Amino acid sequence: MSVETAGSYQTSSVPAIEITGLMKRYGQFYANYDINLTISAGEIHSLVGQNGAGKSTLLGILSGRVSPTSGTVRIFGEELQYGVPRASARAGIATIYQELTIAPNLTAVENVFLGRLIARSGFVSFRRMKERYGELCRMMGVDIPPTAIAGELSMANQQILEIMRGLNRNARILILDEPTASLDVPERNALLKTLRSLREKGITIVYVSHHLEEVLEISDRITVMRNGEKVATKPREHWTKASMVAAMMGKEMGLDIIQTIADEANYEYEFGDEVLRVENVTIPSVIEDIGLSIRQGEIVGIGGLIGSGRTEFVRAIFGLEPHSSGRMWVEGREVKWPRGPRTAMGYGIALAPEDRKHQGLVLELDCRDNINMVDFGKVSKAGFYNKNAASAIASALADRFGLTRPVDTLARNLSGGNQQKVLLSKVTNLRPKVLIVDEPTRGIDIGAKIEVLKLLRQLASEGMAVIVISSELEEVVAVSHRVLVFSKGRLVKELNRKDEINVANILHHAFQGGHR
Amino acid sequence: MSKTPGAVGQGPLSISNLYNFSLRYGVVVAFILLIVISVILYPGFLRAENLLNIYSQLAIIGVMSIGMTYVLIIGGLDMSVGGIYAATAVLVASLATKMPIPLAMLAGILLGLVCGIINGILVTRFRVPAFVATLGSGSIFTGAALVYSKAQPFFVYDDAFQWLGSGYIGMVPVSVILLALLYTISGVVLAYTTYGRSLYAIGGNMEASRLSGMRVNRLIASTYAISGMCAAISGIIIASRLGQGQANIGATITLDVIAAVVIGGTSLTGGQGSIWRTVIGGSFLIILSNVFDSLSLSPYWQSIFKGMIIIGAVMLDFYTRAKLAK
Repeated sequence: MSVETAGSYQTSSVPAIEITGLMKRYGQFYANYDINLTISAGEIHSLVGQNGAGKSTLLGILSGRVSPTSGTVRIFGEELQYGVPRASARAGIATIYQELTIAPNLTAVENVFLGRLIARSGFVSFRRMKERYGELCRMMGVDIPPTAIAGELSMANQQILEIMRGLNRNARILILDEPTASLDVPERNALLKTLRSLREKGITIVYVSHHLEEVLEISDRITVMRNGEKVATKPREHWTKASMVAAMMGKEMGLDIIQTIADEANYEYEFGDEVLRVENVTIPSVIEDIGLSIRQGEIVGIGGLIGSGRTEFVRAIFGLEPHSSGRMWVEGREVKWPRGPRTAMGYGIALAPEDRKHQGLVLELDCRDNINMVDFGKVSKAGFYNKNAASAIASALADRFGLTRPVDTLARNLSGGNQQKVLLSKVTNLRPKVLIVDEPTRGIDIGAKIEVLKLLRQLASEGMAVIVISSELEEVVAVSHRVLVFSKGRLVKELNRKDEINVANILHHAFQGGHR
Repeated sequence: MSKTPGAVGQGPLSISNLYNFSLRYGVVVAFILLIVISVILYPGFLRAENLLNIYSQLAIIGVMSIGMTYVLIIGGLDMSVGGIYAATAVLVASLATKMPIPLAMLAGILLGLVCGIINGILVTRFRVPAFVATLGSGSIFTGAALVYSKAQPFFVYDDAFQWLGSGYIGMVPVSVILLALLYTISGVVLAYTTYGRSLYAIGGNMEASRLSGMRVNRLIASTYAISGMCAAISGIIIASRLGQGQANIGATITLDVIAAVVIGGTSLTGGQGSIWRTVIGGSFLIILSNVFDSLSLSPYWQSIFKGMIIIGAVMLDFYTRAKLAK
């Protein structure tokens, strides 16, 4: 509704993004249904919602990967040409996805100017590129050496290079999809600071994250989506974590349940005998001399920042770190240090790895095959795969883990939460004595998160020993009986008493760790 | 996309389901079309003698394409089948005059097995990319056959030796019976055994399979061993059919074998495919070549069309998976 005064085009009065009546239909489903949303220039606007709420589709339409079925999108007053990524880029939109598109073997400068090298009569002019690179760095408030090899930079800096690439192409709108999912706390803070300084330069930012504290911290306004529809858009001050969760779920629950899980944990538990003990676990220049003992029915959480060695530690226990060494006792008997997953599985150890899609599941197979692939022999006769037996086992496990789709669904077609349930069904199929779960709630919505946490508790109450790693420290606190804090490859603190297990305490020790 | 508002009933006959179906089974539609064309061009096409004749032409490529299907499903590639095929033909022909024929043929299969195991070890233990490992080993196998035979054919004048390649049981060529048998066994193994399931799992996600406790390297190597044996059986069939073994026969056959598999719709990226697809792919290829012959199309042009069809089939595969993945 802006009136253009002749000659002077005032961007500030025109909204950066104006979405009206936007619909996107896939077959019989509406992924976006009648979305109306206006985002002002220079605003940080967050989109939150469960998986499948329609955020990705909306981002896809803005970035030109998806064409809407009906409705309009105006960028600074001009209607977007739909479904053409180049047109979106021309309109000033740059999208930074969770999976970065950095060329790891090129330098920082080359990455920023990827596909747009500044050249003079056919020769690349590094001098002029470095000048421009310097300008971009100042604009972002960062200092990354121009000749650094991109692959050797931290994830956060790689992300910043990607943002600089967008800015170099004169982007006025930045779309960030889960930018902090793989960053640790200091990196995350650095990125948020950079985003704030970009806002001051008039850049509009559309921010998508599952991390609600972060959203509350950075946003000017927040839009909650549910089932393809917009629920509400309000300024940040009008939201709380609880009210966002409530809006996402359509009913008041969520945080209460995490609290309930935590309360249950306060009861005194009778743990069984020690099932697993490791000592002197070392991977040269990664982790040093770490020990752990766990009893039946116990849940031990491992707290620590990304890079503290927590994932490497559990991978070593599962036989996946070739350079690891240590000693291991299973049910009191010393066993050979595992040199492969088969050995570890033979000891009764199971691992649900952090990367569901690449290490956990075979996406092109159905749930039944995925759940049974840990031991096809169990569901076969004379080498022949018995589909009925396999279905029976898979259904029983899937039911108990609350899988909401039939077991002959391809893993690819499941939501993140359901994929995680299939993965847990798979790794518990062989009734392990020790279950290790690495980032069990990454990228899944709050409802599924709660279910997964409750399941871990339930498995423990049946006598399984459970080791949990999560970047979501609230969850570690909620679910664990005991927490080990790692820092820089060492075990720096063991928190045993309920009153000392809290997020602040874990962070305190995680940041304190010794030098290396 | 999961549950969203406005979900209309999911009838099995909706337009998009029909579209997905035809993408997935496009090769079947194309195959039926080709048969119709063949019948129009040559009314006697569907007569038993004609079909048996066509399938005896397919026997050699068909048997090799079985092993190739296994290798492609685990996400590998075997460029050495032409070399193994030629080396086996030479070895078996040279031995057939010196020892009992079944023993000579067994030696040929053993040779294929050993060649395949070498490929498997190169790919798994030494981590040589499959394309390079098998292209290199194939060159070695061909070269070894040339050295061994001094580039001269070994002739075998013995009806018993020729029975496998050009004999009949009733009106059915022995090679067709063998092909049908191997298609059936390999299809059943792939579709219904735990071994087959494991291959799909590895082709779909090797890391997840390893973390699930599968003996991934051993299973991968086993597919190259199977491919080697299949190539050897084909080598035996050709030696038997021609009554001679010659080292220069394998030059272009590898491409035909890969063509048969990918035209059927087995994916080059692993994890997807099946023997029935390979049966249709091979049949498609051989009938097409008969149609071309009956139109008196020169072999040069046939080669051009074949190349185009392979590329088209792979393009369709990638397009289909991009569509269906949505």
